[in-house]
Amino acid sequence: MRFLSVFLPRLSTDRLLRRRAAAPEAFALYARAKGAERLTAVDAGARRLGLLPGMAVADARARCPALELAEADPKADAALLDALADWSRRFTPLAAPDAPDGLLLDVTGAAHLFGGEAALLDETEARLGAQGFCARAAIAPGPALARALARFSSLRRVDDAAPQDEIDRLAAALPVEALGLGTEAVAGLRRAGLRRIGDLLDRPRAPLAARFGQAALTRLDALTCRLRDPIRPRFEAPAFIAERRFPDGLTRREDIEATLKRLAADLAPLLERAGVGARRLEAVFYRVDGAVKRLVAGTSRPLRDPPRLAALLAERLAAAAEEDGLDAGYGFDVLRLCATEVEETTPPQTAFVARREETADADLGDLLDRLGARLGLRRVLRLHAEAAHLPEFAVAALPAAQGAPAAFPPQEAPRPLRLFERPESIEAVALFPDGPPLKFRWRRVLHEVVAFEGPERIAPPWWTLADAGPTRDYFHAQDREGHLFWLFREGLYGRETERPRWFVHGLS
Amino acid sequence: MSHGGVSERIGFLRRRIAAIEARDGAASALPAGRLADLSADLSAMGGGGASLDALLSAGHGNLSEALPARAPDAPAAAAFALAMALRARAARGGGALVFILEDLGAREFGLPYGRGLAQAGLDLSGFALIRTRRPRDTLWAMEEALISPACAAVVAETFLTPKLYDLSASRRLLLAARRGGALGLLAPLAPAQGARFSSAAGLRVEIAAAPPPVLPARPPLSPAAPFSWRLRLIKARAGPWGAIDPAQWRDIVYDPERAAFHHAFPERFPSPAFDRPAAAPARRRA
Repeated sequence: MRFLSVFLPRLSTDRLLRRRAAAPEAFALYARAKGAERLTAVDAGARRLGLLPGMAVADARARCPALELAEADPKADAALLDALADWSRRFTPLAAPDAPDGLLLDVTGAAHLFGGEAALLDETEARLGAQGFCARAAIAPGPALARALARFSSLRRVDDAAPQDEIDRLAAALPVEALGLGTEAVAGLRRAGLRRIGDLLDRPRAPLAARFGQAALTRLDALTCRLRDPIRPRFEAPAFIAERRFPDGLTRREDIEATLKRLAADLAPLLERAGVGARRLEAVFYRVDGAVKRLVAGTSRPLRDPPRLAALLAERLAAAAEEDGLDAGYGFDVLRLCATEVEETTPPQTAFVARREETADADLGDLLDRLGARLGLRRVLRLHAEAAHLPEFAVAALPAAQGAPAAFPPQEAPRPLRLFERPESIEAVALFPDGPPLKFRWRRVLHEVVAFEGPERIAPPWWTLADAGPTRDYFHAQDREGHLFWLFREGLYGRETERPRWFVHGLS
Repeated sequence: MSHGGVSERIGFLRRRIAAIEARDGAASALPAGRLADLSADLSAMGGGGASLDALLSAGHGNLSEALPARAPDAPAAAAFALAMALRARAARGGGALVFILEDLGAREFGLPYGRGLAQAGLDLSGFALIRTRRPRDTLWAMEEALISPACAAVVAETFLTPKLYDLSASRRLLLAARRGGALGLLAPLAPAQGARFSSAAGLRVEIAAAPPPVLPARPPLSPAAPFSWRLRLIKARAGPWGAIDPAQWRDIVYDPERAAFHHAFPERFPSPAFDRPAAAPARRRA
């Protein structure tokens, strides 16, 4: 197992300074804690002048009048770290943020793609450096050791074949902070005269466990690679991935589309070998300057036909370009296509002529996929019948990807052709309180009812909910101009309410 | 569609009998000229409206527009477009029906309701509802749907501007419809703009809600049959439309069970709600 840890010692200050053309002489972030303003992070210039996190802002200003200050923003730091973890997925799909100031990558079997581990370390540091981050990286057989090396040692790489005593010897030189325990625990260790990991390794384990807890020993075992502890990747690694890398970024949309076509052609055999088709596709674009853009397209049936996949992504790309502009900036240097959800599929027997309904279903599915890719999956709907009495719950509009609906059961009472998403309140005048409407005012227009049909009484489901709401009496009404409305009165007069309210629920 | 178990067909026949009886009896207060108009109209249409039906199902691979006469008639125009789509689907013997509507239209006039559509004779397993944000998306989605061989008819209701829907845009839709063999139906929701369109559509009609029944008595009056409209022809490229006076409003009814259009009688007679026989499921066609 090979783990790469990246340490970003000045993440919070770099977050602000990397956007600036010229760095100030000294820069620090502060936060208000217990009524006092204290520094939380300092940049390299401030560190040279002797400023440290935890110092009071007034002291720091006295020491360095030119100090520039900004308020700390832990949320922005965390978001930036997440974005960096996304970015680092260009090296391996298993990447995790290592809060508060690092990244952890599982690069087992991935380093040779980048010219070996030393080259991978150089590339990581150089690329992060180009983005304006001070970064140190290290590779080790265990995540805890890699993490400790990146932070507390000048050593960058521990060989996979290193024997246990060699690892122990390397770890022995590290300070006890490398365990990653809290500040109190570290202070306790130091008070006991234990300064290096070697001091702990030399001692019997039982007294250590009794004094510092089992957690300290677990950390110690992890650090010396006696314990396997996996990292928690930010996203589950998809099973089917195709990707292409480019030394110079791609900027033109035609190039990107052509690349997606070739990626789809790469992905198809992988899917075919596993006997599955993609239900959800994700195209990930890694921009040269570190930004990551994702496009997701869903399909209504398992797909693996490369032209279809490519056409779907092209629609999604066009929609993204319209919405927020697929900002290519200096170009995308890594394009990746993943099938994040797959479903088993049987290949059609092409020798036989497919039945007409089947091809029609497939055609409709393709059309709805294409529309969904462009307009959004939630805008392509199919209507399913539900067993409910209230009209608004009797039909469910579900995304087309969830399959075709069955035929509707016959409905005796007439229903309108259109239904409002929520009933609109109206002022209605009735001849008597539980009678039909005579006239009503809807959207500030007075409608005079000349003909009506009803009432049809619909009670809410009182058998499931104690307070399901009042009973409704529905009327089909036609006004003097011939427009048809579906109105209801809410509440039974005298039993449920004294002032029934009226609503218009549909038109036909 | 069935009202309390009585099929639309029977309702239609009842109204017709009531009208015939009324002409002989005391209720024949119709002016003589109007009566002559009526009989001329009936004879021109073959007495029933089969030819009107033939006109309105003017074939596949075409683009039609149904404009509302006034702003409140927009749902009626959209319902008429839907009826034409159902007619086209029945004539083709199947295929999908795609309904496209914009968010603004959904807020103004509500969403198509599955139960009501099923009563109108629509098979919802071949129905898709597409919601778009803007007229531009609507036109794009309509073109895509028209090209697809799966669709029998595509209905789009939209707040179009003449700038967006010009000759070339409508020509695109027409060519897409010809390629896919589907009937495209555009229902603009704003009437004033609709009149100014110059488009490549083969058929353009103006739709108003059917007038309510008129009788001196107060309720109980039941509303006019659903799927009835007043129609006026604005433009027709093909077919024997020349025989029809474009300025004249005519009442038409869609029969969901036969999937056909026919004339409505100019007179409207109510059938009181309590006068209906109990549901007779055996006589209702499934």
